Amino acid sequence: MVLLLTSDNEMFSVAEDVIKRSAYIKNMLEDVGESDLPIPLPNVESNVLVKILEYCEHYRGEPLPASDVDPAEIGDRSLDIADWDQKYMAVDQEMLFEIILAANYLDIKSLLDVGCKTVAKMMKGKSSEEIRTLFNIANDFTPEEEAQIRKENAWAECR
Amino acid sequence: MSQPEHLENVPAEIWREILVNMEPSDVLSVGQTYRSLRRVTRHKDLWRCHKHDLFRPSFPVEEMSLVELQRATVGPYLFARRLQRQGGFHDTPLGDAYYPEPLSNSILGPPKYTWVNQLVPGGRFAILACSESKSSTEPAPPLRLELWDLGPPGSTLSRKPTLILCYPNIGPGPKGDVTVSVSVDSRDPKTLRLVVTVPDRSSPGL
Repeated sequence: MVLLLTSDNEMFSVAEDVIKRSAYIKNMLEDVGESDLPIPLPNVESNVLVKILEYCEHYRGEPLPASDVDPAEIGDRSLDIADWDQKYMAVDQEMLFEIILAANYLDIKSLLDVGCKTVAKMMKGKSSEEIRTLFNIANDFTPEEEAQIRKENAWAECR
Repeated sequence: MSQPEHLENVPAEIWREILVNMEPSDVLSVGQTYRSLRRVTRHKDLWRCHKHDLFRPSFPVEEMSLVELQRATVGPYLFARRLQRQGGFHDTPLGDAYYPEPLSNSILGPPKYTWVNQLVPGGRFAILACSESKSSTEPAPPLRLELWDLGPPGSTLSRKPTLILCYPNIGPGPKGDVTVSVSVDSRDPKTLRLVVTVPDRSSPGL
């Protein structure tokens, strides 16, 4: 078992083959070897770690992806997401981004990829105004900047 | 003006991971939402990445400006959208795709007997059906089909066109007209289909 300590000081005891989906922890275990000391995760809160562990549990036993392969390099831009992953990602936006940040920190490439695709899918085919509404973004451009942006992108407008 | 905290916490590198999954036209929209996302989308590396379909061997990606990169990546989408607006759908032949004037043979390598030269809509690729000698000679010279990359549309020709596909022999050179029709599958606008019709030498009617 591996001990993990979250940013809000909660201790988790996790099976090694579950948490090894995190390349960060896997490397750490390989470098440090067996240890009774908990691994501190100062960037991950307990509620997010619970969610991360749910993902690692689900894919327990599945082969780990080759560490050198960046999914972005494989090169298709399809936004296909497996059913289970879609359900898993059906969380509020705050949690969605927390998962993405934690997956990045813990170096869980497949989860990071699914998270990024989920956000990409949410923004797909939307206008900038629709994206602002969806993510509650305040338009912080000055009217002059907006005019400049419109001018710059005029070539891409309805033709 | 402050943005939702969970967005502010997302570093640029993660936004880039998200944006490479998106269609280039969507990336343009994202860049118009607020300042920090605009900064992220103005990174040339984002537009140069091959996930956005920049065909490196033919685009001088290192020399292209941001707008040139954007136009080159968004161009195919705009073309497909225009096509769909005009009522084009699955396998619509692009009747008006013919290039009004013959492409200069001096640009495209040594002189050949050219049967078809056609610019693929979008302006970047040209199709040639040609043979090395006149087809009235016997035996009939083989008909070649070539696909040329002329470089990014809208820019001056900065380098020589590149031959990217060549079928050296698609049959004996014809006596009559060769036609090449180009169509786009709107469900997969990135795929161009070429149909070559070559009249049969032995039966003039076909």
